Amino acid sequence: MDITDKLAILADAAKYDVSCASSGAPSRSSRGKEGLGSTSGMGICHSFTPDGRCVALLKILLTNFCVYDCQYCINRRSSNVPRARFSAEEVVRLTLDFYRRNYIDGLFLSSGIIRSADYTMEQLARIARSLREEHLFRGYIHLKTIPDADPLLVELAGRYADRLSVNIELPTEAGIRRLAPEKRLGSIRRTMHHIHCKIEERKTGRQVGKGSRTSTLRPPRFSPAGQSTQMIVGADATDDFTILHTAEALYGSYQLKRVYYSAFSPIPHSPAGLPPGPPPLLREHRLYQADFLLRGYGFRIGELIPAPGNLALDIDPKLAWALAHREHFPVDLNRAEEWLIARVPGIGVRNARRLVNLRRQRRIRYADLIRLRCPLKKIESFVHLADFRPPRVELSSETLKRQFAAPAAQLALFPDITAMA
Amino acid sequence: MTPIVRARDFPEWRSAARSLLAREVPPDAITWVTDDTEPSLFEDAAVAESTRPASPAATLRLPRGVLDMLETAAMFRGPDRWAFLYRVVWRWRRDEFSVISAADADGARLHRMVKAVRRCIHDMHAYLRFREQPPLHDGPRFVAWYEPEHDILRPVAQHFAQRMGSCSWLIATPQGIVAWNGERLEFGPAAERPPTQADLAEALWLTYYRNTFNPARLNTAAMQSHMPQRHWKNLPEAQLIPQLVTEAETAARGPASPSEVVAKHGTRRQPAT
Repeated sequence: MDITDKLAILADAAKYDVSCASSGAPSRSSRGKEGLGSTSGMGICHSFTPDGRCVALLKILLTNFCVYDCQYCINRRSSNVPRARFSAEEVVRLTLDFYRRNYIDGLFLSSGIIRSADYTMEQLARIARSLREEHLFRGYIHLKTIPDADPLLVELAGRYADRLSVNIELPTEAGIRRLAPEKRLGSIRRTMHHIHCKIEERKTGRQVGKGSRTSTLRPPRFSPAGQSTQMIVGADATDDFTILHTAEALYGSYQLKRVYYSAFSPIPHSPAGLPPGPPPLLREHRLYQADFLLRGYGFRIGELIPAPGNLALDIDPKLAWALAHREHFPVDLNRAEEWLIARVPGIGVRNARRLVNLRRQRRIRYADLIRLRCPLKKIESFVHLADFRPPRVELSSETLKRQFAAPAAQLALFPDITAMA
Repeated sequence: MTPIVRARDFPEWRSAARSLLAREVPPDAITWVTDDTEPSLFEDAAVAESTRPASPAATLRLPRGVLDMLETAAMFRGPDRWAFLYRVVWRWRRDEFSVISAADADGARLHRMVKAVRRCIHDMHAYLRFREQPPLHDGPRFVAWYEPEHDILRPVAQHFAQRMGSCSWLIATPQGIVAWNGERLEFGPAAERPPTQADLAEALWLTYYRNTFNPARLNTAAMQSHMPQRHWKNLPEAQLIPQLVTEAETAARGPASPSEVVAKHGTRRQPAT
């Protein structure tokens, strides 16, 4: 099979892992040196595909042969898809060629499980080592980590990669047992814990668990951009309440940089028991919004979803909270604390900071909100200033909700004819 | 008499501004010229003198952050950038520190300029594409053509010098070129667009682009908001976009694999007993 066909198959197979970040690596430069590649803390999206997703890394599988049979995965062993395998040299060559032409910032390498978890992990680590040590590549490398692999292999991978990730895929243990029979929640969490410990060791400069004796040598560099994971949304009946609590537990226990939510995409010939409909994209979007609110705005899950169930689809979680808690509004922008200003629908963390800074110089006025490009229609019921007050007729939460709700999706008139075209 | 001051780049503007501030010349009293014509009779002599190293009394203390903002905004290709920047430092000098807040009228414009320049730099880092020259060709090994909206070639050249390591490259823009010969950056005046051709690596890139796209998640609005159409003409992969969109729409958001993969022969492994 020639390399074009291999690349077609293995890029197609890799797209269900939605992690795309190329950020968080320590600064590196190749100026005046042998080798190539540079990183800064910020990642770059070099292109965008018509699904709106960014292309920052060469995201491929080493091979899509796999001995596991996870029901949601297109590469499961019982699935009838064309299979291919790259050689290590082919992966290295593709990465370097694409990097030099400024198509990518680095490599994102995953793989189906072949022969054993250890063998697969070793192949991934070898490619990363070749890039770093033989070709002196200083760009970004993100390696997937196989949960059952030997911890020493995971440590080897972490020495060469900027980020590692282990995908939990399903938010509950029951889900994993049903849909991914070869995987175990216990070994997934053990691997996350191991990665977390090695990252902490490097940060604090001390070996974890070795008591009070501190080493004089700093532990080797390990996955400086941290670790992340992914959960599939909509492959089973788990609700957003459970998903967010699982995410919160993972952030808390393992200091993950990100949890990604991937709407379950229908795969060709998917087995019975998996939903056949289109991917729940709006639900995935609301989960990302909720995730940002939890991490960046100081919300707690109980404020966004008080009871088991899903986030509202028609309005965003922040607006939903504001409508359910009208007692906090209108907020006096000249007096309120920064965290409360940031909770006003239409004012984000950055503008809240700017308003607080401006307050030290002079009083805030309506014209300032215009210049800060705040969506005034949204804000007007929630704030009050010296020269501006909310409309005299206080609109009920129901009325406001209807004003701001996303319009219902237009159904296709003749979906079957369209499908046959 | 209205002083006429020449400023063509940030260092020139900076020394002129120092001298003007020291003499307390208000912003509306100055005419700024930016072209390279012979110095006219009316050009302000005091400012021309001030291109010598400034005396301590003429310096204006600006915080690092403010100076960075001014330097970035100076790259914005607008009609009266130098006059505007001078107005900003004039107001700062009179202790109107809110001039740099995004809620102030001038401050908002400053922030917009800075944001536009930063966005432009980020776009050039992202969307510039190199092509490799044939092996026996003498001259830089990698060549790129790009059309930036603002005068950002200097900072962008530094970025690529760090990225590309020791191999030689050239970036050509309508306003000027920069080349790296393995050791040093060299800037030059605008030249003709260099001829280049696609190679196997570019063909593989198109294959990768086509297959990493998920037709079940078609969302051209999101793609266009991140990557507006004005960038497409120098991106090799952009030529694929119309066809990918049509294929995805006519497949009515069905399975996520592109037709070239679905058409291949599959392999299924018998489940373990």
